[in-house]
Amino acid sequence: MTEPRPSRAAPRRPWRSPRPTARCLLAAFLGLPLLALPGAAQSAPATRQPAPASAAGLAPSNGASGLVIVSPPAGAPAFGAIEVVVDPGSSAPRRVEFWFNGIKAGELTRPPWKLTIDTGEENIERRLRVVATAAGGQRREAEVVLPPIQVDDELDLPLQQLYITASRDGQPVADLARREFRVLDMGNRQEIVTFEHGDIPLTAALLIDSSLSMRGAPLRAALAGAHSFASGMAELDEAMLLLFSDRVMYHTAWTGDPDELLSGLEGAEARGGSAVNDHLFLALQLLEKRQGRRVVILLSDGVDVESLLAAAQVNEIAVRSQALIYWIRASAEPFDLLQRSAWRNVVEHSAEIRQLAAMVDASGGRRIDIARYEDAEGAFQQILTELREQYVVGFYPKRSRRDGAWHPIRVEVETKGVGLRTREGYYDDP
Amino acid sequence: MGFGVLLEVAMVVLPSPAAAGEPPTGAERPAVGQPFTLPEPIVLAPQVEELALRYREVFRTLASGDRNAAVGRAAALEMEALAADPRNAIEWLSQADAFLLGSYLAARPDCALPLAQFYQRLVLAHATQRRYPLFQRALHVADGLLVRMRLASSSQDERRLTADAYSGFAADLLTIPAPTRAAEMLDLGLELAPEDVDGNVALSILLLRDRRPDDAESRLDRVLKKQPGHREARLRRALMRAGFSADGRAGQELEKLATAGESDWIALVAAQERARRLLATGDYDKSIAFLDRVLERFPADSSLRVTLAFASARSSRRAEAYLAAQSALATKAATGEGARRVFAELPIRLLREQAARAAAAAETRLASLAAALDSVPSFPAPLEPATPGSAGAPDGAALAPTGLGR
Repeated sequence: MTEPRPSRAAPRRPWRSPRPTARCLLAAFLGLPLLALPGAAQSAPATRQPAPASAAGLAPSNGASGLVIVSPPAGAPAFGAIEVVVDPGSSAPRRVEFWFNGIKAGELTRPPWKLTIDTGEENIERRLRVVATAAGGQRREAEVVLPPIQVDDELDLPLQQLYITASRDGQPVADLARREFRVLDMGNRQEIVTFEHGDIPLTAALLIDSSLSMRGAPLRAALAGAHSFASGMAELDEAMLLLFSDRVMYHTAWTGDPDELLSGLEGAEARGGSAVNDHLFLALQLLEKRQGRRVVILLSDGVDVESLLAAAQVNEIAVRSQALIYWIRASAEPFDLLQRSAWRNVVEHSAEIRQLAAMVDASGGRRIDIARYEDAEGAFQQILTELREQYVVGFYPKRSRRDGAWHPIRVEVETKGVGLRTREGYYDDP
Repeated sequence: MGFGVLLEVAMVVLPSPAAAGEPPTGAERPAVGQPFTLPEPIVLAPQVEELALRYREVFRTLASGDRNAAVGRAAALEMEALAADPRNAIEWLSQADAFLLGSYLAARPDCALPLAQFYQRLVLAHATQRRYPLFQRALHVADGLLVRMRLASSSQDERRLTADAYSGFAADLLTIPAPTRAAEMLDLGLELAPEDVDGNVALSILLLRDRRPDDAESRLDRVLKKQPGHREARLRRALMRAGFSADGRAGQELEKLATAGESDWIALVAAQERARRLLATGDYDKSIAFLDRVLERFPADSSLRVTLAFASARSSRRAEAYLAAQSALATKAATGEGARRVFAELPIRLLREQAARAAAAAETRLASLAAALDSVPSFPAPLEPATPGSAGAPDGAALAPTGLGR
């Protein structure tokens, strides 16, 4: 197992709750990405040290001493990695200390007086304080308060986000405009409140079956495919790799680094039976706390012998997760292929694999059948290309009753000849 | 030596023409206890004689203790014969070794065990190389030798040994795998040693695979009548009876097995299956309570942790669900075979002990085979109609040269 590694220096995306709500929308509208400036001159993790003596007293106002925190501006919520820019005023300091919520985050001894600080992603109040010390020992301080996003309970409606794949003759269609889309929830047209297309960050769980049937070349080909997927990820994308059989064989932390994703896998070997349902559920559960567009890519023949969970049970979770599920099916056999085990008879095995296929379709993802494991890399690339061209459409259901009812969704587009694929609906859960 | 004896044995070890594609099942197997008389003389093909000579050398190698070399030579000899004349080879091979085996068994009946073990290995050798006709032929011969042993078993020890030989053959057949034939062998062995608990459990597993649940359950009942505490039999019977019900005696039996204090694969499977059935009822609180209990015993089992995460997620305990999922990742992958795999695999492990006993006994009887080889001349005699009473001719009776050699 690999230990979690320090987060990348690259800024994180704006905070979003695990389940997109009005908070997400507000965060997006507030332009939070602007607060996280890439390419910061220096960065430092926050380290716990005693706060300066003056910090215990009244907070200094920003600029009162001639020392100004230029960015982030006071009063604006901030999340993740943010760049703190300080104007020391007329006298050049010998040292500037940066404090975040009482914890010393770093120190600079020369300009530029900029430091990137990871402030975490909780929706809490943040206090940034800088202390400038002059050559003669005089100290000046400034502080800004970054409040949490204030959202009234009435506004905490579940935002339904649809990841839509548009294609014509098998080719992605990338030029659709917001006004062309119509979203119908239980047949009622909905107002589209968010619309994005293209390079939307994604978080992907790469779930690779490493049961005994994958021993040798198949597993190597699958890992090469996973590596090619990770290599094609954009800066804000992240993924984790989970190798499973009838147990978790290997997993990584979430990372955007393709090499990190596959480090330590040289000796990986395939063994044991296969528990697809259990590990698909596990991946969905692990994605629950991740942000952005959540994707599971499963590489398996789909024949599940060992799972304790049934595909129908996993589907209950999958539908609610809003995750896209892609299945690279490493088999060209028909679903009705006679398969039985000590745990399921032929009919049950057939039902399980059909349920898995239905779950994939219902999520808005799709199944790619490959006859040879060498084709896994191409399948991963197809999925990545598809994800790059997706549209993200958000709406607040007009007739939400929070009664747990199933709401079928239909998306239409005015342009002729364009096929759309997205999830089939959602549960209007309390 | 009278040829009646010779042909009696030959009928045991030769495949019947009707069963060219399949080895005989128990019902089809010829009744070997009856004397047989030839209606007219049989003229052997010269190829048979040549093959008999070469088989004799194979058996010499076997008697010297070098079983691997013997099996290798026999496999090569049979492949060569098949390649030279695919149409007649099986018949010629069968005639050749049948005459030899018949004379050896007549001379020293106790050499049947090493010969049976030799043919078992030949079965595996041909199966591994996918030589289907030769595999089938070797299977017939091994089967016939075991029938011979069964009929000759007069003492309790001999019956026990023959039962072990059957179990060993069944274990070999499972490695191919040929579970239906293995079940048949096991069944025959258990007729001689019905008290063999592991053998009965193994047979119940094979019967269930063969979609004979009632027969399978009655085997387990037999085991539990003899040993009420037999945990594997308890687990298997509980699972057969439980179906997908979480309640009732079978459910309670699973819970007892899961929480009785053991930490082996039996207890783990019982825990997993109990949890699975509880989840299916939708009683997530009960599921969580049960899983918390069994996770104390199986902290490293990721499947139980995943199940706990599911039960927590479905009961809206999102933080607990996430923690359980994280802890499933943290479990270090065990290196051994998973409990569910052990439960589901073919029951070779249950037959190893019997197979080892049979192999050890066969080793000690190689001397009998050597003695039989010494007592029987190289060439089979011409076959003539047997005279009444010729069956059961004295041991060591000489075979006259056939004059059929080239």
